[in-house]
Amino acid sequence: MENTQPLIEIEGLTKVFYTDEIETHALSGVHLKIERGEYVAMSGPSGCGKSTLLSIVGLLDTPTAGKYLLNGNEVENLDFSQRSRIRNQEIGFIFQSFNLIGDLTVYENVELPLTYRSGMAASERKRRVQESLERVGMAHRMRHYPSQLSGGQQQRVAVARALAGSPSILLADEPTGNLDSKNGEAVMELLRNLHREGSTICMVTHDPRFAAHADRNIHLFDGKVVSEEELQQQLAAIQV
Amino acid sequence: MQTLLQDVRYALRQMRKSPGFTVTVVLTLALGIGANTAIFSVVNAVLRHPEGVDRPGRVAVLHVDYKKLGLNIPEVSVPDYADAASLHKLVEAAAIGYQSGFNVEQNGQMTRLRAATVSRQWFQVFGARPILGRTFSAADELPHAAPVTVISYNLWQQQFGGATNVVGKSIELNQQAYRVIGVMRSDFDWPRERMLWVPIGLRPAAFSEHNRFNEGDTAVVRLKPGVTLAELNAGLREKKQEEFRLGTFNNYALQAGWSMYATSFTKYVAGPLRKPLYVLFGVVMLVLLIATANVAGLFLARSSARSREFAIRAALGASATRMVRQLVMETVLLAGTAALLGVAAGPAMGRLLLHMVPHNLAEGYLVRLQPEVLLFTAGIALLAALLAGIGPALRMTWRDQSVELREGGRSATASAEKQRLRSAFVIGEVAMAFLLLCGAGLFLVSLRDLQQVNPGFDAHHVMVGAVYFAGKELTRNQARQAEFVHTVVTNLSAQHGIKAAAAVYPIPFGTSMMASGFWIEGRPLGPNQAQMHSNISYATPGYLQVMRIPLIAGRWFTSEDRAKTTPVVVIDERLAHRWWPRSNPIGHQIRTNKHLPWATVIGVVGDVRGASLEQNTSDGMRYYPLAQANGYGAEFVARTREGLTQYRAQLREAVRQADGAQAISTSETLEALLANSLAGRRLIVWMLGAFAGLALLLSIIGIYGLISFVTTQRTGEMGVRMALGAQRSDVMYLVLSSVLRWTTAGMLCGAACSVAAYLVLRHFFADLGDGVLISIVCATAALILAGAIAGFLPARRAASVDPMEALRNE
Ligand SMILES: Nc1ncnc2c1ncn2[C@@H]1O[C@H](COP(=O)(O)OP(=O)(O)OP(=O)(O)O)[C@@H](O)[C@H]1O
Ligand SMILES: [Mg+2]
Repeated sequence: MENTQPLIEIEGLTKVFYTDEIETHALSGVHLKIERGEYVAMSGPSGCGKSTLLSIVGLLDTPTAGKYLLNGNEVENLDFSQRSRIRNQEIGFIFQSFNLIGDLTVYENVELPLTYRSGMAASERKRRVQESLERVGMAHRMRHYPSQLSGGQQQRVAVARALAGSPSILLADEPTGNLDSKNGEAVMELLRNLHREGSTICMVTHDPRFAAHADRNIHLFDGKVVSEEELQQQLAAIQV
Repeated sequence: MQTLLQDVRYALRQMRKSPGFTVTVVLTLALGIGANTAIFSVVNAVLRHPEGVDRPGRVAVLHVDYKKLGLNIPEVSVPDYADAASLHKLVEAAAIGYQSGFNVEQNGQMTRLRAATVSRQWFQVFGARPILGRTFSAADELPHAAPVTVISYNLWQQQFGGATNVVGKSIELNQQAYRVIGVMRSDFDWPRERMLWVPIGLRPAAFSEHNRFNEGDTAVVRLKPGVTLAELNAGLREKKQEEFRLGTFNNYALQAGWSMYATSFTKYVAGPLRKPLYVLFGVVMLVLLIATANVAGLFLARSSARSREFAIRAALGASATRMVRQLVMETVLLAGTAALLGVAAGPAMGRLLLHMVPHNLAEGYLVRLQPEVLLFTAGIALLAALLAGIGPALRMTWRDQSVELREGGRSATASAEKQRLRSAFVIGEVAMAFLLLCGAGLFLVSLRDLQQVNPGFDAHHVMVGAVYFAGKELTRNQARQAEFVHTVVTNLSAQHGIKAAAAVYPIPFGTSMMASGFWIEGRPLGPNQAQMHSNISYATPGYLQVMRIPLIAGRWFTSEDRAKTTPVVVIDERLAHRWWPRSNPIGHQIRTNKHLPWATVIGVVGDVRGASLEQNTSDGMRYYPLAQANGYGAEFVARTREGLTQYRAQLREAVRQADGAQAISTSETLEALLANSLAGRRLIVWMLGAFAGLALLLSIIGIYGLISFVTTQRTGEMGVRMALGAQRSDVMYLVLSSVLRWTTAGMLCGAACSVAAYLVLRHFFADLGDGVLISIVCATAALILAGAIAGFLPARRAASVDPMEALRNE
């Protein structure tokens, strides 16, 4: 069955944080569509709501208001365990600080999301782990612990972990933020290859060089998606 | 000095900074130290330093052993005593005595006063001096000397109101006037609970070799300074060899494997409390270790929380020793505070403990804060401090400080590897708690089993009351005794609520036992054959019925078996099987010695335990009619209706009507006598139970502390796992499974320790085996439950971690 709907369709999404009587409007009316196979880069000044948007897209968090269709299904009002299940099957996360688990080997780290999926045979898990580690070029380090790897290698393992569950979309929040430029370059190269092989990617980045790799650039400002021109205007307004 | 002060100041500041931590540590340690102080103060009072005895290490008690008969008697005969007393090179003083009693009129009622009849050296052996007057002189022991007595502090207060002019006054004992020559110090109480002492005045005939195997007295000696118990025992053996050479002994001594030996007085007096106290001592040590492991875990937790601080200090040039010293200073201060609390609470706990010990075992022991106790507590506290501080100290010296700095800065998820040492402490704690729980279970099961051991009679609703014959008229006149006993039994039977009454002497599970050798007619002893031997008991016709002891064959005594009728004897099944394995004993003749007439065996009755439910030490029993014997006294037993409370008054009335000069000494239920015989065992069960509970609590705290610490450290990891799709239940399972891992490891160690402990304890306590499996099962269940309780909150906390944690950078 060919699915013609966009993978992600978000309309009028708002997110308000209430802390100590202060309301923070992290997102105020975001509209966003991401098609299958797209590579989207998101940028904007610090505090504009990029991570917040990404976490809602990744079902880590729920919106205050608005509509969110993932694969054509409404997901904004699901409970915790339903969201966990969808997260496990549809979403692959890549974090700025890698977030590998220190006690587990590279292999076990990559296997982790698969262990939360019921009814997957051990042999199938093994095959997938192997395959995703090969795709990021880390298969030879399977038995190592994260502390025995460089930052760039750790992030490649994290990418492998995101891939292992064959998710519909990879979400990356500043994946190169903790890496030097050489290692950052390598990880970006990896994401570009994955995109070429058909993965859908949504990445937050500050670096215009990396944003240029993407099919499409989204700019966030003050909790809203704005066009390039609008962004320049707004920034100019602040400078003055 | 300067830096030491600085360390103290720094440590105090640390204590003040985290009051919750300080209070937890101090209370945990205080509990361990207090429990140790308590048990040690009791051990010290009971096992090491009996009250009122001067240098108890030099006092020894003589025993007689008949190896071939399997008999061991803590009493000796007068010739035995003379032998020991003759070892002048070893012995400074020797004394002999026996427990006696006198009837005295108090408030218009005859009461029995517990007394001791002793030789004049008695007080010298114990180093006990009177507070008023003097003790016995040689003249007091002469045959026609005027009767004198040394009274106890208590009797002085009760009978004379503590009047200082009491010396020279007289007191009427068994209707004879005794002049008071001295008042003993209040703390001197040997033998136990005596109200007065009278001189024994041994006649030369008492020293005759005929009396050699007539053991009925307690003999004590004070060793010369520097002489050991082993030397005394060697001296006693030598003396025996010498007498064998001289031919002083008859063949019997050789046949029976007779010998005399001495044990330390402290061992002797501790009696049935000895084993339980050693077990408890081991147990509180375990509790202390658990408390210490707990504190060590807390320290470790804090030190890993402070590891960056330490790393920075190291970077700034502080040496590892300096930092270790600082930590040790902190633990010493905390343990010191705990020790103060422990010392304050310990003796009170000790006294409480003695309260829980059954009366007859604990009476006369005083728990006081002695220098030894203080020293012990200080030592224990120091040990605790060092053990508690050792974890962080080790870590600090093992670890490369620079690694610490880097790791703190980089890793998003704390590695649980850091907690390995702490896990070891928790595992150790669980193991010890498991051991204690198993021990408690083991002893509980054995106690329950022992309580169900059939003593051979039915103790329910049976009351017992003793009368020791007083006054010449009764003590020397067999016919009068028979008449007295008969009258009391008759009077008693007529009383309300009493179904049947009888008399016996001695009563099973009472304070005395009687035994002697005997001959069977027509069966001469072979040259190297040991003499036949059994316990003896005197009873009235109603005894079997009151006690519900089954009659197996023949008949029991009737009122027709009197002083002048044919002497008869009833034996128990054990004797019957032993000496008449394939024939009928009834009609055979036996006698105790050549001077007594043959008695005809008229019946066989069921076996009865004599003193212990734990071991069947019975040697067989011969019952003689009380009416055909000259005795010391009688225990009146009565089967009563349920809930009879006035037995003592009824017995007193029955006795008063029969003979106004007689008094009852004790009265209680037969069940209480049975229960008393298990007092030591019960004490262990109580204490083990209490300490096992404490240990369980401490383990819960320990597990909780570790798991919640680790879970907090792993918050980020939990967030990541959830971001990757873990359900809340997955995370809860993750936390609980690590609790389960620790408890399982601990339980495995604990089970191994328990089996080892069982293999050791088995040799000291009979009937300990049956509960092993059930104890292990219950201890396992208890600890799994404890783990679940301890792990529940942290697990729930972990499960409620927001997956957004994964996105957050530190
Ligand atoms: N849990 C929260 N509670 C309260 N306010 C929050 C929370 N998370 C984010 N915010 C606020 O929401 C706004 C958007 O934050 P967000 O983390 O999405 O910004 P960002 O664009 O990712 O910034 P950066 O580039 O610095 O990572 C900020 O003002 C932030 O302070
Ligand atoms: Mg962000």
